[in-house]
Amino acid sequence: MVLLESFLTSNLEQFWNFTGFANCTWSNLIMICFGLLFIYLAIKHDFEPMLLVPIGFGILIGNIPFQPGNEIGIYEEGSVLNILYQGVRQGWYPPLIFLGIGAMTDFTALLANPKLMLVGAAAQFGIFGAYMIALAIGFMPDQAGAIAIIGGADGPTAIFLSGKLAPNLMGAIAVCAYSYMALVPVIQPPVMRLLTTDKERKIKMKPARKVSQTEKILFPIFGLLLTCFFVPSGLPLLGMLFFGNLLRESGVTTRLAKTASNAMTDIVTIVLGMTVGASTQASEFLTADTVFIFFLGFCAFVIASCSGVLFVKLFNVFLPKDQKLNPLIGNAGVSAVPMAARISNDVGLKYDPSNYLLMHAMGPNVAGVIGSAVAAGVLLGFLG
Amino acid sequence: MTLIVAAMGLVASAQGRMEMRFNEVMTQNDSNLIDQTGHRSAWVEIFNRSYGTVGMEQMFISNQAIDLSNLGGKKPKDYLNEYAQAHPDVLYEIPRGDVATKVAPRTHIVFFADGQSSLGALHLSFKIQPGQESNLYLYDVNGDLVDMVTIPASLPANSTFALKADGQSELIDGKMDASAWGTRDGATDATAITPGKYNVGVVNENIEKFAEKDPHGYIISLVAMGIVFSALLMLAILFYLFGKANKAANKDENPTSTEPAKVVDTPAATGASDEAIAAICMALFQHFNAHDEESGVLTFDRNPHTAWSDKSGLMRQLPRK
Repeated sequence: MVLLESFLTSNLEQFWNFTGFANCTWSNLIMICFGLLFIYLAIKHDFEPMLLVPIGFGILIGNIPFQPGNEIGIYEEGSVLNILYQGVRQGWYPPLIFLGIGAMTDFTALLANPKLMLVGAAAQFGIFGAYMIALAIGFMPDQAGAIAIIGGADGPTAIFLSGKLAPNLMGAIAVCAYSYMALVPVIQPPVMRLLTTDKERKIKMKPARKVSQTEKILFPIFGLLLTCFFVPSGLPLLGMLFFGNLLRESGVTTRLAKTASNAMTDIVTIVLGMTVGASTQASEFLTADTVFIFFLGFCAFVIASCSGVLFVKLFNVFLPKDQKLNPLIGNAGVSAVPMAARISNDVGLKYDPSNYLLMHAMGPNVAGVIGSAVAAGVLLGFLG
Repeated sequence: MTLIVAAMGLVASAQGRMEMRFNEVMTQNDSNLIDQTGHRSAWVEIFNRSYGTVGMEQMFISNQAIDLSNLGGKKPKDYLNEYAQAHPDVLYEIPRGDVATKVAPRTHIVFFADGQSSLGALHLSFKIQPGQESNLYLYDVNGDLVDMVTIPASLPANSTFALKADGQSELIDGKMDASAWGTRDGATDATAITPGKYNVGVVNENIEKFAEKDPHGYIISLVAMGIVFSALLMLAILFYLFGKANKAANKDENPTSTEPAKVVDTPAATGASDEAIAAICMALFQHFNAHDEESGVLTFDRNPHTAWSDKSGLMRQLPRK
């Protein structure tokens, strides 16, 4: 009886040591709260639910305490989570997402008014503004570059670049990028209102011209050739983006375009979001660096929004009176498709209920996607 | 299709083999690397400077140049193969099927020049004589010369003749670039003997350089923004011109008419059912792929009453007689 009792006790003790309760720390609980917050924001307030639900749940998965050595954790080689995580570590998922984005994106608004591409370029000041601040704080150039790309407001690009330049910061950078993308409706409108006058907000832009199918087909081909000859290191992202768009616009690969934009993107989004979330294990995530990353990410978003709006104002100085741009579309240059363009439209409608800016804002918005991928390629080329 | 893919794979593999380079050679080994049998011998390190794994099987390593100009109608591969069997003291064919001869990207492989190829794929069938000038040649499967090195007779015992930077050498008219090579005696870290390892430490020079020369990030920011603007500006100009050309072409082809198009018929006028009209609209949408200009997709208001709850749906239209 005594033997049985001691056998049971020792086994129960061993079992207890394996449980999450025995291995739990305060940092795990804090991270689990973050995960729950993400899920709450996504479900209750509809903040980027496609991203925040997988990431939030991934945070829960990644922060269940366990005893290391049993091939459970995301950082333990050979574990299932670790195998799925390789898509993030090795950078497979972001280009696949870009393929889907390309297959989903209609570049008509941009092609109808090609000068809007420059607005997308101007918003990339956010990246380099944050880069300078990160250097001033004390980050090394490669880490600063990886953090600064948050200003591109493009999750896959941020994951891709941070995976190459600063893999140890990738979890924090990805979560930060997606969090701020979800907070675009909170961050951008005050900046837009601060930098524009009432008269500017009511500028009505000329309706976009009709774009031919030939132009739509030529865009991904020439877009790829031009941008990637400039920045070959952006090839994985830009190549897939333009390839996806050609599938869409060619008119003869509808099945491929549909698969790329629907099923494939959904699958990759699920595993990408979940593994990025799970990579935020408390021991890796709750550091002083993470606080700095969130601060720098905020700076990057504000600078990017400011530079987009201010660039449009500057651009208007040189444009004829009938071709003036509404500065409220400047914020859309930060990519964050289509949220940022929707913000332009919503703010514009507040000041003139008949002024629909959505299609005009989509131009800089998709240009921002290209611009941030080019900027990532430049950083990778310089610092990789 | 499969053949094309297979052929492309072979080309890629051949390109990788051409990126193999002699990297470090020791001719007299008294106190250095020991093989699996516990013996010391001369060794040859080769570096895969490509970014893909290279299988070295069926490549050839020789201690003298092989004349491939007159093969008597034989293929170079067959000639080298026969030569290796006939003259193992001169030419060694790396055997097939040994995973040890697969070299990962940017890594090294070390062969022992002990004349005992029976000990494994990493043992050459010939020896390197210390104290005299020696040549080493690396041939591809098809007989192409990949690399060569001439080891000076003056190389001291337990010292190596090594590339100053791993993999950084090119043949000039079939001869080695002597300026790329130097002697390493192991006396200091800078001259360490490094079989299977990098001759020089791998550091990201870019990061060091930027940290030193551009501590505030002004230069990189200006240059990078310049590149981003240039790329998108060129794209904008190109598509501005395309747009102009397209507009002009359309003007020539279809002179604009102020007359509105005459409506010949409508589906409704033909008495088509609502379902037929919806199907026509959907087909037109699919055909023109209307993008974001206009949704064009008709949606149906869901009827909360299903066949389960709708009694009229359960009744026969005509009572059975």
